[in-house]
Amino acid sequence: MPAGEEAELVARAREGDLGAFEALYEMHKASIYQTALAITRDRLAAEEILQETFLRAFKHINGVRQGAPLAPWLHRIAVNLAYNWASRRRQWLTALENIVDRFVLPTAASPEQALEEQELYELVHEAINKLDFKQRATIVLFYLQDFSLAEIAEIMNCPVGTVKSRLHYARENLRRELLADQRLPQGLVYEFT
Amino acid sequence: MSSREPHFGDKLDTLLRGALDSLVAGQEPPDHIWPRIRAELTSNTSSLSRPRCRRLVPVLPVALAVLLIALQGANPWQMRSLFREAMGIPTRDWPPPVARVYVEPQSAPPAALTPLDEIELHFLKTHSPLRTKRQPSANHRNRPVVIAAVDVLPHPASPEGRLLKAERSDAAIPVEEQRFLTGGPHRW
Repeated sequence: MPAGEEAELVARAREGDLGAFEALYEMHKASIYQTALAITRDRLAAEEILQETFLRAFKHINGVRQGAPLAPWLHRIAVNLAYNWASRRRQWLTALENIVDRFVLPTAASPEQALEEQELYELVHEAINKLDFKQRATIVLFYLQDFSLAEIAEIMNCPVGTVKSRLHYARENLRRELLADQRLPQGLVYEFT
Repeated sequence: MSSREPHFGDKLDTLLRGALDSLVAGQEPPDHIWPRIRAELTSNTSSLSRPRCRRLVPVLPVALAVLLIALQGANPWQMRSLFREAMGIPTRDWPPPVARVYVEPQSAPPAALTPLDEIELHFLKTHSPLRTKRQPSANHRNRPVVIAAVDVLPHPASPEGRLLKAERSDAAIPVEEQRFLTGGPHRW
C-alpha cells in the first residue's frame, strides 16, 4: 500500500472513522500477529496482543507522526505487550511452556526431507526460545519482519548500536546452543564452526 | 522495510530465517478479533488495557475488610491482630491502649468535698508542713509576761532556798551501803 494511502487512513481514523481504522487493521494484522506468535509461541497470547495493539493504536492514533510508516509504531506496541506477557508467563506459567509449544508448533505431515528440515527448525525454535526477551524480539524483527536496524531501534526504543549488539550476541548464543545440541546434523556443525 | 543493512551471510542466517518463516507460515489471526476490537471501541472501553486480574485487585481488600469487620465486631485492634496472624506476622496480646480524658468544669464545686471539722483543722494548722509561721503582733509584744512564783525555785544559798532545803530534808533519805570487794579493782 502506498504511504500516502496509509497516511490518509490514519488521518481519517484520527477523526474517529472506524472504517478507515479497520482498513489499517487489515493491512497490518498478519505481520503483528506473526510477530507476536514468533515471540510468544502462544496462539492465544498472539491473538490477545493483536487485539490490544489495535485498541491502543486507536486510542493513541494522534501520537503517530504525520507521514511516518505505521508498521514500526504498531510493532512497538506489540513488542511491549509481548514483553509484558512474557514477564507474566515467566512468573505464573513457566511449567506450561512445553505444553503450549506442543499445541503451537505445526505437526509435519510431509515427505522425509521436509520432516528432517522441520526437525532442524525445531532445534532452532528451541534455541530461540532460550534467548532472553530482548534478543529474541530483535531476532524476530530482523529475520522475520525484515525491519532495518534503525527501525528495530525505534521499535525497541534503544540506540542502533544496542540493536547491533543484541543481534550479535543473540547469534552467538544461538550458535553456541545449536553446537551443544547433539541432534544437530554433522554438516551443520561444520558450517557453524 | 527492505532497507536491511548488509549483515551476516552465513548458514545461520538462512537457518534462522527459514525457522522463523516456518513457525508463522500461513498463520493468520482468526476472524473474530476485529469484531471484538470494534465492540470495544464502540463501547469506548478497553478491556485489555485493564487486565482481568487487576479488576479484582480493589475488590479483594474490600471483601477481606468486610469479612473481618463481620467476624470481629468492628474492633480495629482485633481486626489488626487477626490480619497479622493471617499474614504470619508476630502479634502481641496486649489490650488496646485506651486514653480516657475527662474535662471537668471549673465553676462547678466538687461534690465529694466536705467541710473539715475542728480537729482536722487544728491538726493541719499545727502539723502541716505548709503551715504559715505566725508573726508576732503588737499585742503579743506588749502583753506582760506573768510567771507564777511557785514555778521558780529559790537559790539554794538564799534564805528561801535554805528554808526549802530544810523542809525537804525532814524526810529520811536512805543511803545505799557501799560494798568493797577484795582482790583488786572490780571489773564488770
